[in-house]
Amino acid sequence: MGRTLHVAYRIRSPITLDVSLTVKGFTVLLGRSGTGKTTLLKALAGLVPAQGSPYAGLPPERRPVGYMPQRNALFPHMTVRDNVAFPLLHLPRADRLGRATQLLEGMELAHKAQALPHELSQGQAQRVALARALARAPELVLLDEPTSALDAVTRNAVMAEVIGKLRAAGVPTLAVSHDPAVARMGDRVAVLADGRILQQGSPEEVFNRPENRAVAELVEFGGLHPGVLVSTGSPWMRIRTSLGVLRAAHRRGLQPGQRILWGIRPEDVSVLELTGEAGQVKPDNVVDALVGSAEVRNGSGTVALANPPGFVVAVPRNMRDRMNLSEGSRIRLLLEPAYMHVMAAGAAEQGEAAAPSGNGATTAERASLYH
Amino acid sequence: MIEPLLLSLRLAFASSAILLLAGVPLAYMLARRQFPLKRVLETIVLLPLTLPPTVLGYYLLVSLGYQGPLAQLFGIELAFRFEGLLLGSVIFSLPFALTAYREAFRALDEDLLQTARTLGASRWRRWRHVILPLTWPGLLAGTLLAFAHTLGEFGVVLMIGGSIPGETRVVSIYVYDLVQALDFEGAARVSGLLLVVSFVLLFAVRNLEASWAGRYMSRTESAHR
Repeated sequence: MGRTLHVAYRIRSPITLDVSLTVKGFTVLLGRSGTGKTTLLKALAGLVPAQGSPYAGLPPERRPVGYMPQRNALFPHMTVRDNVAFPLLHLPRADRLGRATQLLEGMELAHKAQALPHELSQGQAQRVALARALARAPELVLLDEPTSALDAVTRNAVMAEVIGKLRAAGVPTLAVSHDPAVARMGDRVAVLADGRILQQGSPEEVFNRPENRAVAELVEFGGLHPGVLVSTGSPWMRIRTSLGVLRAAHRRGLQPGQRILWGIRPEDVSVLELTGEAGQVKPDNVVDALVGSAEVRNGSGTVALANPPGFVVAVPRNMRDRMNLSEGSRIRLLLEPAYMHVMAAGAAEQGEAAAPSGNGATTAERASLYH
Repeated sequence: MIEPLLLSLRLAFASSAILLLAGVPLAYMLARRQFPLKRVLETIVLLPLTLPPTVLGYYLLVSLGYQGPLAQLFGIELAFRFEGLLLGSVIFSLPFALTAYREAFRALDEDLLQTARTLGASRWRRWRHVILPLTWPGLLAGTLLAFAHTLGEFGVVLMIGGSIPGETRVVSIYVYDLVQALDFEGAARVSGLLLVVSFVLLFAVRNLEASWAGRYMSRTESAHR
């Protein structure tokens, strides 16, 4: 995966940021728009004043970074090859054009060398910008919302290709995005909100074990529901919920009797056939519940439970129709303990101030569980 | 007719050249930098647009004449000389050139300049390879406009230059003198020539502006504008 780079930056203007994160492989900085993601990238490129390491104090011309702004910023009056050769203007003409041709070959774009940027497709333009950013052999590549200039249809294919090229070049890359789908494609994710990094780690870790509500919302974790920790223990803890006492993956730093929030990703819930008689809590985290609504969202079916509110299960359309799931029908779910995620209620409230949740628990529901 | 015409052309060339050299940096600052009293400066450079040429000419006359501050302090007297005319022309055409230059610089995409910096380009390289290639039609249009405007200037010239043949009698003054002398045939010839020259210059400016607006517009860019 190549080199690792630690970034610690403090920015005062135009937005206050105090950020410390590790860039390793293709790292995605995930955050809502307006949280200062672009500002951080520009600061790393030297275009916005900041304190910290690396590179602080160096002018942009002397920083070993390859910066790609949102719309790629190819020079519209230069051919593709001249664009790629631009950072090499200090070399003799023959050398720099030769090197540019090499870089374009690496991007499978040698045949476009004489084209002007407006004759390129979005994906081609992005690869030209990438070749240009790599021309000076940077230590760090910075990508600002790399998917913003791409069509929804080709987006994933183009991104996969860009990430592949960057991995092949072995240069650590920091890409900022508001799109969880991009973050999932990375080697590492850092979540930015309130001017600081709330959580960082592998996508697997951040997407499945968000540390607080703000992170949970950014990674589209699904609803978080109040509960009380009954007992700790490895590998499983027991929690009391409105669906009964359930097992969940162990998490350090929690005490029995403590208020918690728990949740499970909609796609990690298994829907079971209803057999036998309706019961309360079955063994092994199997629960029966009532369907609040069944709808199709973003092309995939989801079922929301009547209780707890905000509890959503991903149900393929064919299964929904076969089981005839609609408002009021009974559904049996397996909440695999390994996927059951628990966080301290306090940690969640921190994030809540920043990002109020629409699918949180009601006050009454909290009160009934906590006492 | 040849002498006043040549004098007018000499004046127009000289003042356009000065405007290009001094106006480009000034317009770049006004378009892309923030500094104290910027609005005041912007207003001052636009003043010649609304001031009557005679008022502007009057101020120039009293400041450049033999009793003016320049003459008193440095012994430099510019009134009724070509140099005085040149200074007046530069000031009078400044708003025309500056407005065109400023629009050209405002249309520059900030991302291009910032990215050029991160790609290691010094100030000189950014001007040479990015800024000038992208703005030259606008800069040329502004300069041609100032050139045409200088050719057509009358009031300021009359006030600070008078009508000294070979020194300050430019073509517009010459037409006036011809009419005063009731030589309508001569006035018609010179006026007709000026009309053609002005049309050609403005036509060129218009074509530059049109071709410039349409350049490099692409699918992807237009989708984001």
